[in-house]
Amino acid sequence: MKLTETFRSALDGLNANRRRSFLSMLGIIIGIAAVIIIISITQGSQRSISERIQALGTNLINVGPGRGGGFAGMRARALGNLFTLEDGEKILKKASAVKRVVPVINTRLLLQYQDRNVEITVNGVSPEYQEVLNFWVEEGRFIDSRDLRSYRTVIVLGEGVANDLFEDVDPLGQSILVNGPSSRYKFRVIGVMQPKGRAMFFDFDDQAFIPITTAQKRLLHTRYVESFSIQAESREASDEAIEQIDAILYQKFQDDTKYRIFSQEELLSTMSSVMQTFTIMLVGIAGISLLVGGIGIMNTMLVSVTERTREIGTRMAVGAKRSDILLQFLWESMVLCLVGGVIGIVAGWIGSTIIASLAGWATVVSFPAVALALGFATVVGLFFGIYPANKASKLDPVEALRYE
Amino acid sequence: MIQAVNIKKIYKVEKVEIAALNGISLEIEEGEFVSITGPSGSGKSTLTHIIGCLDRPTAGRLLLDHEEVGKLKDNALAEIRNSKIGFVFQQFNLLARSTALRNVELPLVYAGVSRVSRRERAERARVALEKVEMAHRLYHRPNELSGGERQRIAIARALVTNPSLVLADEPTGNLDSKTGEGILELFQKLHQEGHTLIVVTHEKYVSAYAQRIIHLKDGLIEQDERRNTT
Repeated sequence: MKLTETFRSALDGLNANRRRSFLSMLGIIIGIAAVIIIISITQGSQRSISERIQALGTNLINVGPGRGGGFAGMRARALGNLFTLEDGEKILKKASAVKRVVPVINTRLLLQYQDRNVEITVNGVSPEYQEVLNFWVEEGRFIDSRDLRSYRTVIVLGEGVANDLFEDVDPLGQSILVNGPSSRYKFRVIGVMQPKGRAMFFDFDDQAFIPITTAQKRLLHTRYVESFSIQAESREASDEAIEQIDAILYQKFQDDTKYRIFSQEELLSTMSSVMQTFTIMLVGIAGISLLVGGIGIMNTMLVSVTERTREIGTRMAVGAKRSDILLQFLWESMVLCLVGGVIGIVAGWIGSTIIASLAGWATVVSFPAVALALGFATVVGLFFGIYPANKASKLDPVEALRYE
Repeated sequence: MIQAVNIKKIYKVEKVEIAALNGISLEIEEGEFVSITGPSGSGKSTLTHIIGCLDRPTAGRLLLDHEEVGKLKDNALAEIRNSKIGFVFQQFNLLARSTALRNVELPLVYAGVSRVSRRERAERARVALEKVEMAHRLYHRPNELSGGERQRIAIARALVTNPSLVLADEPTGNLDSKTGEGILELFQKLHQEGHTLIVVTHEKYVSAYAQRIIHLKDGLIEQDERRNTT
């Protein structure tokens, strides 16, 4: 007998009990929808996180003071005197895999314009900052080397800061007051950065930039810098660059706990391994719901086999082989699971689109997720269909025909 | 042609052996209209099941068209039921949600890979339904039909494969006597057309239509009576 014929018999059987078929399908629908939603959410958020991390700059390596003894220690070191501008120059000169080095000092300062003020992070940086962080000025100009040489009191504002302080006024050329720890200076606004948004817990648009030398000499009265943002020659050269930087710094400090080097690559891979664990856990939970759905299907099939004992006997009497009966009932549970799977995929797709638009990230219903869901549904159908189908096919025709 | 040689059937119920058939030998020629009668418990159902290849004898030989079938495997028996035997049951046993046509097609559906094409199948089912005067009910479902009509469809289903033997187990048991007579007249007509028929019954008026009456008692043939019917 042809497969298509057993399949047709199976459809007849399901059609006869539409409501029951649908109810037992519900478990599969929910399970599959959960798998699709979970996978698309984790993939969507993973993608948006990695996009934002990549937006931090290309082939970026950060060098900062080492962490010792929790936050208090970190703060102490951060303020403590560790790196100098010369260290940065040394790294740029000696480490062949390094392309650019930007020394950074950041400190929270109060900025005033007329009756408005904001307290924000002000970064002392060098002109290469734009290239290294992939963060560009939109209006006016960025800090240049002449600003650096003569400690000019010029400032480039983040887009958010510019809006807060100036609203409708054109900020370029305006003077604002910057309140240092011991003195206040008048700074001239020379540029406004492009809007860049948030990454992780940090708002790019809510900061301002001044020449690093100005920060050192005029505001903070220090000859040290806090950290370096370093750009490697290429993505592949990242690891080599880290080794070279490490060698140079170790030579100076003779203690590798004093400084810390971390790359964007590391951040990305840590992030994605965290997300992966998360995904596996959630898919596991969805898998359990599929299992429960499968048991529901098995239950329905067992009831159906008992109910249709006479039908099975009749089919056997007119010449159905045991394998025909087996296939018919196996098809029934497979069709239940596959139709449930397809409905679940559609429901999951709709659900994840809604969630994505609420959360504001791009959800991706990926092909592997759909394939995984369908594969799972098939396996569940087969696995939980075998027992009832086998039971049906093992019936004794005489007994089955007599069954009331 | 059916040849049964010393057929015995013994059921084991919790170590107690119950003999349903105690050695039955009979021959039924092609084209005969045989009625098997006897009180309940006489073994007529068991004999029908064995002749119909739904069950196997514990001992003895059964030959269908000179082929030994008593010891065949399940699949082979299913094929024989499919090609050589047509069943008619007391409860009709139609598929409740399928049309008359689909019900009659069912044996052809199980008749092996691509032996019968879909179109030919429908055509043969239609012919069988015409034979039982049900050509006007092709697309009705069993619940839309009367008992007599249902039984006619069941008979069409038994005929559709052109079997060597039509086995009817109490075919009038669920029908009123007038409808039952209609069915029996149909059997008579089939007999005249050359079909081999075995009708199992415990009702006298049913066996009156047969040309030969085999009376069973306690698993043995008590009487084998041949007579001429008009």
